[in-house]
Amino acid sequence: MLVLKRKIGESLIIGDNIEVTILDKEGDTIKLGIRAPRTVRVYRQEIFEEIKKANQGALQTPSLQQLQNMMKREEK
Amino acid sequence: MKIQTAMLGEVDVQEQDVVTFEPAMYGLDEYRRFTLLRPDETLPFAYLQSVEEAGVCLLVADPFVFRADYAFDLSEADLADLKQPAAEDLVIWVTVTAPDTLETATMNLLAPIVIHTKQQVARQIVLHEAPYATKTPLFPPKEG
Repeated sequence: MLVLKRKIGESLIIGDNIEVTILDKEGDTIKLGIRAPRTVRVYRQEIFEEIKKANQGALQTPSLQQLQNMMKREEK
Repeated sequence: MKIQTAMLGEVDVQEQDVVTFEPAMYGLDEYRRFTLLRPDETLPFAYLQSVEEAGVCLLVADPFVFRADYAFDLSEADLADLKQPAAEDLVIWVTVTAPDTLETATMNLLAPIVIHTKQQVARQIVLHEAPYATKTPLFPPKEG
């Protein structure tokens, strides 16, 4: 892993067209500004992992019969 | 064309009912082309079945049936990626995880699947600023 030190207001350039700026620091929280082409998707890492996990979870599909039974029970 | 499906055996699918995810759904990078199967239209569920791989089939739900107030805005970038859909040509589904029993199933309201039916393009959109979770109970616990 590349490790760099930056001050507030300083930036990094990744590739040709992604710019990451350190905007502010409050306690142990750092505020980043990211400028990137809209084709580049930027997410918080934990959200990315959560969505992947949810998609994997959706691959365990119940049968049609199970779905029908569930909705019947809920209507009661 | 006839495809093999995870839940319904062999199914005949029309080419106009196949949607392409560009980019792919998260964690499903190898699979782009899917079709929605609704064997029982009275249910608020569908199977989002890969037309390329029978084993890849996601359970999805109509979020508005479970949360009537579910709402979000599509960004300009999302609209461009979805080829500028008219509102009436959009269909929204969310993935459902049912780990143990269906009663404890959760849906991912943070990353809905948005389909532009006329252009047959689809995207899984991440709602950065919306107050929704990836694990929202399908059925909120009953009181009492």
